[in-house]
Amino acid sequence: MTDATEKGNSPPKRRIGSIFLWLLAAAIVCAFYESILLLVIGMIPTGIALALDRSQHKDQARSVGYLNFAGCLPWAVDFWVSGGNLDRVFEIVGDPLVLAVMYTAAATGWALCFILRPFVAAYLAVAVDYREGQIKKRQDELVAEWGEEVRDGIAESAEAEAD
Amino acid sequence: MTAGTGGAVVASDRYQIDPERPLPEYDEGSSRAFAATDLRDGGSGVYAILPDPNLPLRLTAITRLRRIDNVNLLHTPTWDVVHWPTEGRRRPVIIVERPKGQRLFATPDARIDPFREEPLVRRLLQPMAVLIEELTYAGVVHRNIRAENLYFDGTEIDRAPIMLGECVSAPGGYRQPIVYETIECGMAHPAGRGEGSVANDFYALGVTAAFLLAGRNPLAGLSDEAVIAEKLSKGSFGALLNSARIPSALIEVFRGLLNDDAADRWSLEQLQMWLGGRRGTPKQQIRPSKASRPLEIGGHPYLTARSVAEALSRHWDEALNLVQAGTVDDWLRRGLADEDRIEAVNNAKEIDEGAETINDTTLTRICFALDPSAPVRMRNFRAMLDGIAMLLACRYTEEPVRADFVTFVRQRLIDYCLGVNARLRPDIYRLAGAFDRLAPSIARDDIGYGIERALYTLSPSAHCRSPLFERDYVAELYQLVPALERLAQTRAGALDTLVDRHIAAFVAARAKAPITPELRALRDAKDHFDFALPAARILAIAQDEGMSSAAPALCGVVATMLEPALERFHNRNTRDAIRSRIKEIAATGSIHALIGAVDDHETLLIDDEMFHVAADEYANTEQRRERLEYERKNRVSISRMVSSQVASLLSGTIATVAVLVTILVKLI
Repeated sequence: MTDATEKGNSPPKRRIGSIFLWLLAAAIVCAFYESILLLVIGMIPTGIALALDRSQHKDQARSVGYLNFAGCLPWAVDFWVSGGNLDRVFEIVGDPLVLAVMYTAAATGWALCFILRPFVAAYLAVAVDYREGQIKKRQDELVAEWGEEVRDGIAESAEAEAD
Repeated sequence: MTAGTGGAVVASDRYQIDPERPLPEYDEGSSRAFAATDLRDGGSGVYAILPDPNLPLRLTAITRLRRIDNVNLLHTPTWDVVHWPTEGRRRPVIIVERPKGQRLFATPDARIDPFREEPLVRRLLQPMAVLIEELTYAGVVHRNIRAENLYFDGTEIDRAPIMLGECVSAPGGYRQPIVYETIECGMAHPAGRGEGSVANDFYALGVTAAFLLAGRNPLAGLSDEAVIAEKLSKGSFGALLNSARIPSALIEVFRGLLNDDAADRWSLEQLQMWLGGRRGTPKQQIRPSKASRPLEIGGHPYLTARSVAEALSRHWDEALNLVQAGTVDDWLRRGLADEDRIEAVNNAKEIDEGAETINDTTLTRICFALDPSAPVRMRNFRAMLDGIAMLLACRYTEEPVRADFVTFVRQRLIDYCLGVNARLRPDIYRLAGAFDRLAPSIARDDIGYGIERALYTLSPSAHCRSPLFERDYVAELYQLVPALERLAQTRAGALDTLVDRHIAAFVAARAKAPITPELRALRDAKDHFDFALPAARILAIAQDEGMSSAAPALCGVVATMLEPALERFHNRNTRDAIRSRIKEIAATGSIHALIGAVDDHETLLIDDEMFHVAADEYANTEQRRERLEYERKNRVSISRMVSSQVASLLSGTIATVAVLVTILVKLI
């Protein structure tokens, strides 16, 4: 009864909040549509990366996005400082150099993912071997001190967990 | 005990015994006498008795007799267990004061110059009355008073005082020829005559006086059965003295001392009054009633209930038939016409009302009903009520005796006897209580119970019959651990058990502390170790209560037996530490301390807890190892994921710096 009441109460609250956010977003877009257009065009690589990145945390897309944003920021700041309109936006994004900087920054972020891969793989291999050695050493110490029956504790624990 | 020089044996660190010098003149039945010397007082003459090892000694009497200092008693200063070199085993020895003269009677059938009235009173009756009084106060019944056990305390046999010999090398009454025993004790097996009371001593004194008066055994040449038959038909006074010329002044004392009714027999007070000069009319004993016609048993006719009962018990199989056929009933009704006896016999039969044939138990009851003062008799088991336990102790190795004893207890024959005979001594009732309390233990066959428990509980002097002590002698608790220590010193490797049924029952009977939990653990033991720990606890109790000396060799054996106990500790370091500690403790010889080290519950608990912690840690490491294996197999995908994460982090850092720089540059 209470759950039903709670269920009945929460959707309206969430709906109101969500509507408010959409309205706010719409207001921002209407108010700053030139800046947003500039960033949208400049961060097209980020959008692509987001679409292509299937991982849970979207780390690759983030890597691209952070540097892509950093690449777009100088011209965005210029636009905000100098003031401008839609024509100024098209003027900025029409400059190939500007787009090159923006997209090169994004590409750098993408490249980082691939460049780091072999280094990370090598490190992981060494770390796994080292940790395995430490584990084996500790197991040998436990067996030497407590006898082979300490291994049976695993079976007993598994049985206890199953029960 | 220590070994003396030249193969001599030393008892109680004081008396040197020479096994090569027997003294046959002091032998008593199966006990042998040997020359001995008091190392502290060379002037005091002593000799050593080597008793029959199968007979329990009267150890309590030895202790109590030390309090008596009477010139007419041969003192028994001490007893000990010594290594007897000619047999290569340990035997008990008793040290006895050596008389200065010879025996009065060298053999039961010897002849001496008859004593006249005055010397008889002055040299025998008066000093013996004083001695019996002192014995009574010390709580000792001599039960070995007879002419052959009297010694002259000097070489002048006409004047030397008479000394009474020892009475502790055999059960009470065991060595007495049948003529010295009352009619009822005479009917019992010598080992079953019981400790008796001072009334038995007075009777024996009377017979002894009769011997001295006649200068011979008045019933010499008669068999034991004939002696009893003679006493039954004529009474003890008539049987012993009818053919003798008795001074009239002595008739009264003989009638008093030889009265076959223990209740009417003279007590110390009456004897002292007579010795003091008070004279009364000699009291004739009331003779038992005779039947108008005899009952024939074993080809002989019998006229009284007592003689019929004795004859039935001596001709058992024929007796069963006679009772079954109703012949005995018929004789009782028509011949004896004794209503009390008839009712008693009928009551005895009614107990087994459902049985179609007369069995041994019923016949035993019938014999007792016919003669309630007689011993309990079942085939060859013949014992006074206070002699049943001693008969078992003396003849324990005979299986029929053990079986009959168990039957006595299971059929509650002692309770029956108490119901039939209301004139028993108070100590008999206490004994019956002991049997009652013991009945459940006898019914159990578990270790520490059974007939072994009965043996050691009812006979406080019975030695332990464990096969481990075949060449040793353990009669008291304090001797147990030292005996095992000697065994351990010579046979350590060959000992696979230290507590058997006999030892368990012996400790259970003798120790003050109850050992029921240990006995239960022994019963439930599934393997050698399960048995070893409670067995060790029992020995620890014996060592502590007996205040026995240290037993390092025994502790070594116990430590070896308890070795599996260390398996209970999981931690190897703990095991090694306890193992070292056990070795140190074993050297001290304290079994109690040894058990404390092995069975330390606190350490066990901690070890168990720490083991579980270790097992959990091991399980945890296994999980981590499995995780590592997973990482190794999926290294490509994991490195891709991690590199993306690192790139993201790096990218974010670079971007942050770039943003900050941009803002600074653009805005400043």
